[in-house]
Amino acid sequence: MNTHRPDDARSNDERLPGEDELGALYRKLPRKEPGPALDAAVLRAAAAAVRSGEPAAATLRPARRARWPVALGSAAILVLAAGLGWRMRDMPASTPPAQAGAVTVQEANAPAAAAPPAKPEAVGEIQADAQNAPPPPPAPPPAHLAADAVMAKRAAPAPSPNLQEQATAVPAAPMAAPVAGVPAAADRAAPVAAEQAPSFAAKSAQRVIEQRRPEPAAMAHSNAEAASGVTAARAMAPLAAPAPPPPIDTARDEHDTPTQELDKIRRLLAADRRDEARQRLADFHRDRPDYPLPDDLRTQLLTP
Amino acid sequence: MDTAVDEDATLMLAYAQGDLGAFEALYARHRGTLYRFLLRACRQPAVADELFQETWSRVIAARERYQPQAKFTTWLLQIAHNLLVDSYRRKRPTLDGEAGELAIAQMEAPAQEQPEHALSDFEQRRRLQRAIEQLPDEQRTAVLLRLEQELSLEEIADVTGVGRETVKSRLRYAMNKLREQLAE
Repeated sequence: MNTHRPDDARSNDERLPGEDELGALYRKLPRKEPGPALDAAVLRAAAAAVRSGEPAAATLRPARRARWPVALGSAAILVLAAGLGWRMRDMPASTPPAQAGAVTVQEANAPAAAAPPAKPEAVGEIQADAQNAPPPPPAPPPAHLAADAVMAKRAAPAPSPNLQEQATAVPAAPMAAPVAGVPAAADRAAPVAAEQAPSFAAKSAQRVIEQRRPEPAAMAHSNAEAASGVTAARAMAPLAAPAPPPPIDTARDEHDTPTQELDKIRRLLAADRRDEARQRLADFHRDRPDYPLPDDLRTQLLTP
Repeated sequence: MDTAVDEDATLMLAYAQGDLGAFEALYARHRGTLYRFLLRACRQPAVADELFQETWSRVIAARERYQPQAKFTTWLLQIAHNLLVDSYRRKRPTLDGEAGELAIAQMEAPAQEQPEHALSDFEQRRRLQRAIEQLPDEQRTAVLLRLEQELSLEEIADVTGVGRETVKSRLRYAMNKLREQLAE
């Protein structure tokens, strides 16, 4: 606000040359007045301001944009973020940790699912491998693989039915043996394959681990395969009767299944504890005379 | 403080207390001079209407903050001048000479004027109107505040925000141009 001026400022003011004549002529110009509509608008705004106690600008100018949508949107975003955070926090707890054995089996199934159906000679080679070489000590699965499996499961929490079908159908070749390897089976070859299946699976898993390490670019694809392998392993769990043997445990256990006992005998042989292995094999044959022995163990039993 | 200033300030304070009649009296005092100042400064009736309404809306909005430290007229014209400067800056198209003459011709002439003098007076008014329109913005504003509002040099300086000598220089240049236009 300006400072107050003396009331006689205009009267004492300096007159400019010709100002009086110009002033006289100017006062003859038409004295234009604001229109009635303009008067009414101003007076209406003044009256509205007095009535409502609000600034008159609100009545003369367009109303400002309401701010409540911004506040509502912010609250909605906050609720959404909190919900997502809560859900993300719960996800690891709801996902059961992968078992060491399960990871091994699924890793064994993964290349089978990716590869074409097994060639006969390749299968035979692998079986021969399994017969000749001692079963590798079951190493604990690498931590990154377990993590990969969990990550893949998070990325694809619901594998499509096609993937599940593929995971169960393609590895049917190696896994069909355990299915057929029920003791009641008459076929002799089937139990042999049943005995070899765990070691085959372990070797395959080891190969897969070695193949995957230098190729980080293929991790995503492998993770997806691992995820489907987890699902396949779960789906086939009731069918695969023999569980993977405990690591380096050759002690006799009355609760062992025949397959587990035979596997322990094989480990004794691999550990060069031949006499003990032969004794255990003889005991096994005495206790279960009807159980068909695998060829390699039968050879051990018949050898003097 | 003269009587007029006193009355304007009193009316404004009364309106701030909710007296609508006080505002109506205040509005009646200044509506004509304010409107003519805006109309002749911006030279467009539609823009003048808009600026006039905006000026009064700001007066209404500022009623609770009003303090009678200066003449109400000075404060009112400061608001109008600021809006006018904003209008200049927006560079709205102005009426050309022909449209300006048409607007002047549509203005009502005093009915009591004699026909033989009316033509001469009309020509004089037309020339003055055209001469005012052709002034630069700052000079035109100063002339209008001087001739229409009859403000002193100091008051014009307050309204326009420049020094007294600047106002005096602008008025001197402007009035010389007006006299030259009228003498042609």
